[in-house]
Amino acid sequence: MAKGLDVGTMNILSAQQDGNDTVFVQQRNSFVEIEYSDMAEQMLSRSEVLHIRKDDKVYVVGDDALNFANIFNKETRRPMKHGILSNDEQSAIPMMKLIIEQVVGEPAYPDEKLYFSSPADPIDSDLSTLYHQKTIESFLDDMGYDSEPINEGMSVIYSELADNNFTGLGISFGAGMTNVCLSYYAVPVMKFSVARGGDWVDEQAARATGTPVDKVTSIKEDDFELDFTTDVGGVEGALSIYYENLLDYVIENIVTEVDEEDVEEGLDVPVVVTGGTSSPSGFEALFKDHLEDANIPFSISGVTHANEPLYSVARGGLVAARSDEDIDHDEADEEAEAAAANE
Amino acid sequence: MDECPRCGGAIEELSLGDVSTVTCSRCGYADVPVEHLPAGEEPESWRDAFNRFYKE
Repeated sequence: MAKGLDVGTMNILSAQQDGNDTVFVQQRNSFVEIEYSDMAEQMLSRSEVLHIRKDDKVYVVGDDALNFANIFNKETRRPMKHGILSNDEQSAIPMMKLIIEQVVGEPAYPDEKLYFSSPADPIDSDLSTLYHQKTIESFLDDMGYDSEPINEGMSVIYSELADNNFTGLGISFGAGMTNVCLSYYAVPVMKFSVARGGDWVDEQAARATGTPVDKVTSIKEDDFELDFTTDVGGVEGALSIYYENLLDYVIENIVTEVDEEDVEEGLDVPVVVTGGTSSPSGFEALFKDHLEDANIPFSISGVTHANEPLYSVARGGLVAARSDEDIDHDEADEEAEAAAANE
Repeated sequence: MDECPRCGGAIEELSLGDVSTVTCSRCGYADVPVEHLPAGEEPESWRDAFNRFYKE
């Protein structure tokens, strides 16, 4: 056994192997505060809505938080911002701890390997990811796991580019940030993040149209589609404009950060895009079109979109954890064989 | 634990489904230790690396 964990600004997901299947557990990384009443708590319990009661408040947690925020016209509170623990949210640490524990569950045995995603330091802000990474590692180790951080972009490579010797460019469009990693035979050659992702798109569209951010997020996740031509006006019009701007921003930064020397001469690099923010229909075509227009300093063999963009990062963590666990088992077997031979 | 061992403030207990945690709203204490020791893994010797290489 071993586990992978995607610690995302919008969703926290775990992955583990069950026979030939990979099982994912997902929870939205947000909560909303509502006034306590006996009736409200009874209704929540009866409807199996995940909630926490504290004093005269009830906190609805996870997937239901967005629905409740829209119904009660409140804003969801988010334990993470820009890919790391939020410094605006006082309850960030206990909420993250509860959601992570709920998603990963108890370790199957002491020191079970678990790889959790951690973003690269962003190149467009002075945010440090260290406090976030060390805090999540401490939660998991305290639960009894042997946890290791894995760069989010590298996790994408492990998940999506196994058939290409883990060589290529992986781009994870998350909610809080976008992570990019160029890997050559599973060795990261270049990795960076930018502090823009789906949340930035939602916030800009909300501001432009005077719509609550949670409403914009719901519209984006429900039936929003990207296309080469869209109509102006409304939330959908604003989302299209800011989505295109996000793509251009990420591509511009790839052009700036990747040197020709990073890529072996004559090598055609496969590009894979994934992450929850890449989910809208039409994303892949729009990204390809903008990438072709850019002055990328290496040859690209093709652009693919992950089949299950929400699950890529957790799956990559699982691949890394299982590989690490195999090495540990092999070493333990060798030590046991050597001990037996010496007797 | 009713009193925060770090600042003496009141400790709150939160539970979600089957899991629970404690927190101090005054200082942020969460009862989770952070390891500050060096990773401490012995570097592999060249002899071991060569032996592994020939074995493979």
